[in-house]
Order: sequence, then C-alpha cells, then structure tokens
Amino acid sequence: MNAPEVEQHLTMLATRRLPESWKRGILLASEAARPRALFVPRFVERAAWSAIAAAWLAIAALRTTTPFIAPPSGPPMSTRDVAAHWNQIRLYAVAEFVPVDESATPAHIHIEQELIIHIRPRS
Amino acid sequence: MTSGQLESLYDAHAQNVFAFLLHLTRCEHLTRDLMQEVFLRLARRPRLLVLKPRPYLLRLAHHAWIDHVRRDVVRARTLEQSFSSLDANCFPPPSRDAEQAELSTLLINGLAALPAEQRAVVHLKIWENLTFRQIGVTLDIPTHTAASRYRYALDKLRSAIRPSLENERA
Repeated sequence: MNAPEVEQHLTMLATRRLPESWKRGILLASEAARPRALFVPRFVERAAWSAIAAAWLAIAALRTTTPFIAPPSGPPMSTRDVAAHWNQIRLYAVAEFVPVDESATPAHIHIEQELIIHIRPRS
Repeated sequence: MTSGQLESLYDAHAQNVFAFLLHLTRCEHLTRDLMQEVFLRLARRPRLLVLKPRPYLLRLAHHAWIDHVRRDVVRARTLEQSFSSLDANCFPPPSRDAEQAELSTLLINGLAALPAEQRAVVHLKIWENLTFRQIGVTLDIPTHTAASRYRYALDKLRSAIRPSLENERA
C-alpha cells in the first residue's frame, strides 16, 4: 500500500465526538476567568502611577519644610516648671524659630500653637 | 468577549480542539483539563484572537499540551507508555466490515505507536487539512520539519499494515 492509499484510509477513520457534557463546565469556568474590569491602556496606567508618585513626593517635601521644634536638652521640665516659665519658653521659641523681620507672620502663630499643644500644661 | 461569543467559538471549534488534544494526550481526563485551559486562556486574553480562530485555538492547544508535558514529565511519559497499544480512546469502534475493520485497527495501532510529535503532524494534515506551512506555524516548527515528520509517520504506518496485507495476498 502506497502513501496516498494510507492517507485515504486514515481520512476514513472518524475521530471521536466531543462529549456534550463538557460544554457547560468549560464555558462556566471560562466565563469566571473573563476579565470584567474596564480595560485601561498601559500608558494611562503608567501616567496615573506617575501622578501618584509625584503627589507623594510633593507632600513629603512639604512635610520636611514645616517648622520642627527640637526637644529641649537636659532633664525634662515638670508641669509646674513649664507653667512657671511659660512666658520665657514662648519668647525663646519664637525668637529662636521665627526670623526677626517676620515676627508677626503666620509662622509666629504656628510656633505658639505648637507650644500650646505640646508643651504647655493643661490648666 | 461576551459569553455568547465564547459559546459560539466553542460550538464551532471545540470538536477540532478536542480531537487534536485527544490524539496528543490519548487520555480523556487530561484532554478535558487541557481544553479547559485553552478556553480559559482565550477568555482571559480575548484580544489575542486573530481572524482565523481555528489555527489559533489549535496552537493554543499545542502550547497547553507542551506546558503540561514540561510540568509533569514523569506522568506524561507514563501516559505515553500506557496507551502505546490499541488507542481506543481516540477513535470510535471500527466498522462492521471485517476487512475494513482490520485495516482500521492496524492503522489505529500504528498511530498509537507514533511519537507524539509525529501524531500531531499527522492529525493536522489528515483531519485538519492544513498545509505543512500552517502545521509548522501551529506547532512552532520549520515547514520542512513538519513535512519530514509526516513522511516518517506515513512510512511507519505503511510498515505497520504491511504484514497484514501480505497475509491477505498469501
């Protein structure tokens, strides 16, 4: 038997039928795997992440430029000491952290607020 | 891709993917798993679907089978050995005509004895009517490799049925 005859006999062999029962299971599983979210192009995704990173860097930079009052050296002051020396503490802090020519600016107010919140004892 | 589109693709091409995978794996359970994998891949990335879905689906099926073989070399080898005789899984029972039935059985046995790569080429050539170029694209092999695998496979099939034909003539 030559090759074309073998081919012809092969074509006469019917392949098995696909079981009907598989369809539902396979389609259900495929349906579950189908992406449902809105498609976002890669360049849009990259731009969004860049914007988030830039915003985060800007916030971090702003935070580092806010006035920072270092904790005092030496033994901690008692509540009573703070109350007794409150005016001196306030004057020292404002003089130390606010430039002379901006003594009445918001920075001045900010320093005083920080002192009141963090240092001044509650009456 | 909507579920309706997926279903119509299944209706149009699942039989061919099934037959191809069954010839490769010769195991119904594994064929079902791989078919599931093919349609999952299609559902996940529908944009990959090209104008002619069938060659693409056959290609996906072949990739799924290769991935399986790479993942589980030992199991694949065991399956290959366990189905090396009459491959009843892949074909329905032969016809009642005794002579035709015997020839069919010999051909099925011959197909079962072929290496999987040659079986894949024979399947795509005989039952999918693909050209060697298309077979090469589907299986990621050069065209001449596809042609030579087919030629070797036919030679082996001819050798498989020769003794029976000689007996008949005698």
